[in-house]
Amino acid sequence: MKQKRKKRNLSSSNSKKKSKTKHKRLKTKKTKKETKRNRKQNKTKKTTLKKQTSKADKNIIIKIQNLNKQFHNKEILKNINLSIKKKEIFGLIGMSGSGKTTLLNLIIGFHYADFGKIYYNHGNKLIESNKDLALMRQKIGFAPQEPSFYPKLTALENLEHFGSLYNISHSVILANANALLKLTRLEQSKHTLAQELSFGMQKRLGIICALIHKPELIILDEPTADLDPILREEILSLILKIKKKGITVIIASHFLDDMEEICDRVAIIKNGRIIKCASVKDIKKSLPSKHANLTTLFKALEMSKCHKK
Amino acid sequence: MKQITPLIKIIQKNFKLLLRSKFSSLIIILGPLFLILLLGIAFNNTNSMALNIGVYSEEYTDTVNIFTDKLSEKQYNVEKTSSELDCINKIKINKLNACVIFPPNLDLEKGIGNNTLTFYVDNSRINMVFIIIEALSSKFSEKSKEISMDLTNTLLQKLESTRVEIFNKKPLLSEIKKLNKDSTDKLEQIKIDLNSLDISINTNDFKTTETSTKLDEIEKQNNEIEKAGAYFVDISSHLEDIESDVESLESEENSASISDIKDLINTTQSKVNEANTLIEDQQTNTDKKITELKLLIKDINLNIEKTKNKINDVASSRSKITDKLDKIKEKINSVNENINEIDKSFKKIDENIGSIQITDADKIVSPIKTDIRGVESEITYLEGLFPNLLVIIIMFISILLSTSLVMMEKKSPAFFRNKITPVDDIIFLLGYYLTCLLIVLLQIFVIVIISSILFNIQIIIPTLKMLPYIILIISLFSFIGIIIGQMFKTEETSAIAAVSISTIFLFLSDIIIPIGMMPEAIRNIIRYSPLILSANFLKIGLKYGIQPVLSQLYYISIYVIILLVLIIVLQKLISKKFLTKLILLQQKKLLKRSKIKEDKQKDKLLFKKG
Repeated sequence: MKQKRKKRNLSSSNSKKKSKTKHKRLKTKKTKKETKRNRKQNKTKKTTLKKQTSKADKNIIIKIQNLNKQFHNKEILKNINLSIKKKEIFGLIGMSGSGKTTLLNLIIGFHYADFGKIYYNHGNKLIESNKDLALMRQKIGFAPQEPSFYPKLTALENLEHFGSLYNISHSVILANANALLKLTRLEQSKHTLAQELSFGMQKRLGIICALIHKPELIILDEPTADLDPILREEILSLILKIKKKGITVIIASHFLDDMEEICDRVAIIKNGRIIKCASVKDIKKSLPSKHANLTTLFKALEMSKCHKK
Repeated sequence: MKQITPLIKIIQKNFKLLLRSKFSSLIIILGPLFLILLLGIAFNNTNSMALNIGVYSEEYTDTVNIFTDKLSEKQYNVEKTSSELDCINKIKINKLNACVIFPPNLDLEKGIGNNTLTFYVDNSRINMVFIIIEALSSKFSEKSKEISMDLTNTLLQKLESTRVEIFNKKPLLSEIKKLNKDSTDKLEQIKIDLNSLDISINTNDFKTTETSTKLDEIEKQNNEIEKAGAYFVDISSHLEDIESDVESLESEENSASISDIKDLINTTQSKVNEANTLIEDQQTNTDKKITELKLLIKDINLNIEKTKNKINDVASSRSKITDKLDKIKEKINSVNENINEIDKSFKKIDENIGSIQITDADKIVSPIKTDIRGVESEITYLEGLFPNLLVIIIMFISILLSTSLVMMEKKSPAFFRNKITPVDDIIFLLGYYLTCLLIVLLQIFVIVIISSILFNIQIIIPTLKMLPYIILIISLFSFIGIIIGQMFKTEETSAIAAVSISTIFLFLSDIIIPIGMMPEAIRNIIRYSPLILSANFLKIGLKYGIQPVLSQLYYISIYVIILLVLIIVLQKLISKKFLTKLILLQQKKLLKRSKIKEDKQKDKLLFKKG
């Protein structure tokens, strides 16, 4: 099977290569045109933006406008427009390589957008993230898919270390750390080296490391990936607990059942474009049958695109 | 101020991570302890080198043995080899450090033959070769000096004795001169005497002509006598005639008378005959005597002639003698002149020998004496090496530790999380630097304490005085390490780069090979090497303070500033590049994983459908 697949891939890749070289020039021209257009649009929108940032914007924590990102002349994100509301769980659904992680990295300021802007709500005012990246980072927590802490430090030491990087007093860090450890049932293991914790514990530790500085928004990249059902449930309940604490959650995942279970709104991202963005309820309503769910919609959307191709 | 707490926490975290890694903690805590103990045991002495020296000589004469004994006097291990080739081969296999080949019939006393000693050394051991040559040369020159001292002493003694001899014999010259003068005077007198000798001869004084005339007269008289004899013969004949006539006249009568007459005639005749014989006898005697006289006169004349000749010879001899006397006189004069010259030469020799002010053989053999004294009282190798040792430790640990700290952080799973915190990247770099600084300072502290307690090196106060500058040197090398860490992707390559750079610094320093051996162009560049600058600075600074090495301090400061700027610039440049790559890698990983999962799911579906 694998060999067949490889052969197919090879033949398709050869034809693709030829076509790619032809279309490369056209593509670059197109992107240039698009950027020009976007700039014009931005100018016109700037004037209207002030009006728009009115009452409706007070509920928005992150606003993304015309976001574009390229890596090595490959467009990863194309004209992304999103608004994430306060205290909601926002799901980013997409196949692997669709651009979810890149979008999240742009939100936390790990990358800079080639074009477009990200606004962050600070004191009910939308502030461009690039202008005060430190402030934005202070308000956002990020838990990447892979464990992101020091394996040679204990759970508490990790929390203390990451907390100290957000310029919080030690007492507050300790209080936060204890609360979070209690929340994630890691109290008993707080003096255990991170590398000695179980995978589930490490996953939880990764999440609470992102919460140590009490962010207004937490971004979770594939939080339930590689977890067994019990651990997955644990993490989902933890996410709900986080939400209850009034923290906005952005989850990027391709586990659609989980997303359906906990997300208020979802955006389906494909090939760097958002093809659907709505509340889970609205999506369910729009579905033809009662038994249909997010997975069927996603599959349908994927299939429709395939048919178009 | 906001960044101080994170900075302290970063440093704390770095320490915890380093200490929790067994290998790192071993290096940090035990490394310097072990190092200083090893070096202390190895170098805490003042002994000179123990070298294995091979010697070869066709004949081990006394002179050769003197040299070999001299070599083995101290700690040199002298090995007599079977041949020159054997000796060389033993150097090649590192069994010997050097070979000394003695020429055959080495004799320093007589100065006969070839006195060249041949040294063989392993040129590839650049660090050792000059030390070996120096050590051997000093040993041999020591012995050569001894020998030349003896030779010079004898030379000086001979010179002195010559001077004394000249001084003593100087009166002899004047005596000879005096004698010469007397001789010339006497010669003059002889000449006068000779000239005054009358060697003239007057042949007339011998009156030979008169004698001969007289003889002629006698001869004439003799002839007259002869004539008288003839007369007697006539008389006799006449008497005979008379007798015959008387006889004829004889008669009886007369016979008596006639007989008387005849008797008378006979007596007369006999008388005449007698007279005649007498005359004849007389004549013959006279003739005989005349001839004898004539012969005598002739002989006399001949003798006179001979005498004349002899006198002439004498005269010529006299003239010759006078000539010779003149010549002798001339020669005596020239001898006098020569004596004067000799006298002058003696004076000059005396003056020259007298003008030699250095009469001490030691001063002639080595007019300049070298007295190498340590600036301080005798120090051990460890004390001498200490500043260099300190700089090497600082360099290696700073570069390696800062590189590994940067790489450790880069490769840490927490790298991403640290990146998305409000803390600037520079604070993290500052954290690595300060961690490294503290560790190196801790190690220096350990080394200094051990050195002062165990090996009695008075280094604590100078080190404390130099602490700010030591920190500057640590900063210099830490920054180099941080740059290496920033530039390389993997821990392995960065470690190789760090070790390579440290080794290059070490080799291109004065510590292993003297930089004086390098070409001038390279030397001019190398003397600005951070290690050389730091080593010189610390060496002088620890002993005499920083005043004499201020310029080097400026260079180090300039390096530190440049490296700091470079770190900041690199961080700004690399972070973006590295992060984009990191994310692309992550995305690729995720893509692979999801593809595998999708394939698995599809396989499962196909399996179910099938």
